[in-house]
Amino acid sequence: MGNMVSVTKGMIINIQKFCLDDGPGIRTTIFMKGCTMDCAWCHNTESKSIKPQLSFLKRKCISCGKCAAICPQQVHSFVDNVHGVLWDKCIACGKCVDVCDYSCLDIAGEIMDVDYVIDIVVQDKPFYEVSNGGVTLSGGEPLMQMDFCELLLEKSKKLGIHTCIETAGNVSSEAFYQTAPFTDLYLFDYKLTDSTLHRKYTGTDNSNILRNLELLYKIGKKVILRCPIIPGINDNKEHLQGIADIYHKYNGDILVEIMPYHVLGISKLERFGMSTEVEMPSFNASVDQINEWEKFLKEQGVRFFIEKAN
Amino acid sequence: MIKFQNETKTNETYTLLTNHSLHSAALFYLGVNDTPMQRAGRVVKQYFCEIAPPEIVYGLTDCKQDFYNGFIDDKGKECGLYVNILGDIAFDKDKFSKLCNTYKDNTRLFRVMNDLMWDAQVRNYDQAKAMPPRYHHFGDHSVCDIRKILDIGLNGIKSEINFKSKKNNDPVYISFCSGLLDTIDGIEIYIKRCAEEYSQMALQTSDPEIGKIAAAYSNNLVMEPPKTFYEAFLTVLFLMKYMFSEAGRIDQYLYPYYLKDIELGILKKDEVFQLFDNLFKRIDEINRGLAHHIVVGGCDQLQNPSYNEITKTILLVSRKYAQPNISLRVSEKMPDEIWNIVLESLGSGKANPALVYEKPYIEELIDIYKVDASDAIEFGLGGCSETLINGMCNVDGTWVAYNLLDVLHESLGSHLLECNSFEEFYHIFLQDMKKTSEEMIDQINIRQHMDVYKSDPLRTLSHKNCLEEGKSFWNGGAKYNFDSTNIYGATNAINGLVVIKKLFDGELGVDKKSFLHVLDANFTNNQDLFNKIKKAEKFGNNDQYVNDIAKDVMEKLFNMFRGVHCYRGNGYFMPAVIDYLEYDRIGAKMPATADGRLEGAPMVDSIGPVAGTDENGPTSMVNSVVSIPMNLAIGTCVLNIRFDPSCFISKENKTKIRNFIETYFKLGGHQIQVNVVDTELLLKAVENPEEHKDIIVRVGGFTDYFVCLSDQIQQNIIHRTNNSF
Repeated sequence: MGNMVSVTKGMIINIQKFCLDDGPGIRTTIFMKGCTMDCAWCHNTESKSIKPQLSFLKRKCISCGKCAAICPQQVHSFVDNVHGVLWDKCIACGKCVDVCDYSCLDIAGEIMDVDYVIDIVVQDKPFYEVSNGGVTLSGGEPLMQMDFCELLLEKSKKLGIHTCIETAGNVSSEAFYQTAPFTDLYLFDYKLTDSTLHRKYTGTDNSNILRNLELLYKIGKKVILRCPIIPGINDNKEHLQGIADIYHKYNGDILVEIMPYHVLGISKLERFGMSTEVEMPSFNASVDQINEWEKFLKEQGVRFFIEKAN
Repeated sequence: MIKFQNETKTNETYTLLTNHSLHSAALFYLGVNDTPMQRAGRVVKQYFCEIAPPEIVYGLTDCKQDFYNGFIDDKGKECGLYVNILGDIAFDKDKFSKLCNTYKDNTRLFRVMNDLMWDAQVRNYDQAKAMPPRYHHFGDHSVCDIRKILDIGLNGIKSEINFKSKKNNDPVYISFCSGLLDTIDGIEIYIKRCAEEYSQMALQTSDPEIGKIAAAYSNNLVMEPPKTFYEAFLTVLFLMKYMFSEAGRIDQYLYPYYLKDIELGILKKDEVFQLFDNLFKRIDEINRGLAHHIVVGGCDQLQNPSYNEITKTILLVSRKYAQPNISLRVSEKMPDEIWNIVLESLGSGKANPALVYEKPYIEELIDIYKVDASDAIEFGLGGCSETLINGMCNVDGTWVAYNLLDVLHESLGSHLLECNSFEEFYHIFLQDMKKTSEEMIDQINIRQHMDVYKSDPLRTLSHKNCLEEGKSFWNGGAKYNFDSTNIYGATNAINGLVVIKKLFDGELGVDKKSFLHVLDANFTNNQDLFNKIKKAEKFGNNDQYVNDIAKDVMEKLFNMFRGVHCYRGNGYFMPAVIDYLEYDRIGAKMPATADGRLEGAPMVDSIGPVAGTDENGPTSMVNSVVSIPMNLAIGTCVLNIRFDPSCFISKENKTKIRNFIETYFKLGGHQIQVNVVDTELLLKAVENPEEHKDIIVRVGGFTDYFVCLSDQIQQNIIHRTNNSF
């Protein structure tokens, strides 16, 4: 984690207002950097590493060369007017970002003070009040920075703001004990039922995750099970049945939300000089597919937090 | 020609004009000692004696207004002198001179003709000519007292006039009344003739629709109160056509007829749907690029939410057409069912309705504009969203252009170099704002003085208080008179001030002189400065400093107009930010400006951010907008907002959009118009307009078909920030 983040300072990619899909109501979502997993379908590529990272949007670049001129690391090069990036050499100092007139360069990841974040979160309080919304900590895995999360949540609660954490659950149980008093709702990811496949596609098995889910249930926290469904990987009966089993195991107290696969993540890889080994579908999940998944779960008696099908 | 009492008097001008077949002018100049209203009434009566019944379009009597073509078929056009249905003189000097020259120089009759020419020339007042372009001011909106005419018919109004006229000994008043009575007489004759002609048509064609119309007219429609929903509906169409009225709160005043007929079993819901569909189809056809406003919903006189089956029908029918322009009055207790219809409409890319939060309007109308509480509840919007009181209000100023950006630009050119600090410059700018706004007020008052030439008997007899006051609609007769003082370029000016602050703070890397040079050169000589200006903080991102400037400037500007008396009827100026299509047309005349706007580019289209400059999402945009004290400008501050269709995909998301709008209203917004179209579709429509004729978009306070708009406005809409989540 390095010595950059602390109780009062978090490593944050982005604060996004007017989020309609990260819990109840209109929300402000804090996307925190760093993750304990490495999911093949991740749509927040830049959230995997906790370190700041350069991002480069090739299609906006006019090859003006200002970035190459200022870069202390010789990261940017121009051969035949083609802008090349030596990703490994980049120290994310951000000098090139300042000189880029066409907004193709950016640094993902910034240390932010908790009070700075709170100031932004509180700006939309009137919207939270009318819509029963609030703040959502997401990522990456926000609980990697559990001390910062705890403080941010505590301050939010003091201001009367509804709080939500979106977690993949693969963190220490400490993280939940610490944040639970200030968290109104956990959006808990459930990715794969088969533990071997879970390891294959996310880099870790699901035993710790399931333990933590159990823990949240036992201490009486409100949880929504968020299930990313990726065609060809986990859109099978076994996994959907697994979701239904969890729903029934917790007596229907944990509502389910399907998160249909989106290709955005794959297109984002290039911006950070990254690639994926696992071949991913190149189309978004179709409405028919989503309908089918939700229909199956409904037949199993599962209730949804939000139905995605129309 | 109809006979008037004093027609037999010796009247030289009358005889002269009649000899030349200038009948409308002859009637106007028959008895020049009579009040203008009496003289105009004669012409209007003659008009109704001559014209054909309204055409039948889509199974209904046509509502198309004959504003400019409403005149008697005489030699008037040919000879350059006639009086139209408004009682206005239309005069063409070149043509009329030819007629004059047929008389021998210096003969007595030549002099009579010459005086006539002089008189006609003075009375032929052209609104557009009366205003210098900087404060161009043109157009008007009105909704006549439809409720009253439905209640008592024109016969009821005739009795009132007779009663008041007989009680009053003032010859001026009696003459005024006589003009109105002549007008009603004309309509009565007209209705009878319509009944006869429609009956014949019905016989000839055996068309049941025409049969129904004939039957309604045979019941002395308009003259007598309607007995059925259908008769009431046709009455409204007649008033739209001949009282030059917009439809106003049609769901409110038609509802009692609807209820009664449904109960009696003589009306079916789908018939009502069909009637509105036929009407809207026609309004859509005749209002291309114009705006006919219908306001539905809102509270009733007991302050209870009043949304009914007609409200719903109108919302549903309006999905099919760009016009009429529908505004839905949102009361605190608007039923979920109505919200659902609205969200469904907006989410599926229909631009109607605009949402109007009624509370701030009603409060401000009562507090500042001295509107009686019961009248304030009847507020509506005309044209592009100008606030008016239905049935009793004259609101003008559709295209007033107080161009704040132009004022800033002039201040820069004249005073930048002499200023040593931003504060000093800002002070001078505020002084310029005061000087120019006062000049505009003078100019508008001059126009309102000149409006006294307009008698307009039709609107005079159909608006509350004109009869009591004995004054025409244009001479302050209506109970309320507003001037919707429309402000352009507001957000551009705010962004410009932020840039000028940076200039003084040395953040732009140029001195004042070079800054002006770069503006002169449309930024072509300094790309670096242009980029810096583009990157400067912009209104719409909830930046505190920008919000503070916006609040300060707009509060001061609004207060220069708000509640200030205007000449007409001792009414009021009422600030507004509507911007219609003029934000493009005015922008086209402007050089490059301090906010980074290029030469000829459109200005901002509403009270919101300049298209595409809000980057922090809709909540930040709204937080910026509400820093402007919009409650001071209920002439309507229009806010355009674009959402991606994905924002409406689920029931939950629709509720969130509703909550978003509710929050905007809670924070001080009073009008919002939503566009839900994805950019790709708009780009395709630019390429292939023929295939995308159906895309309806919101512009400044009104709706239109995307493909009918100018290239600049199309681009401007495409560049509006498309809010997704």
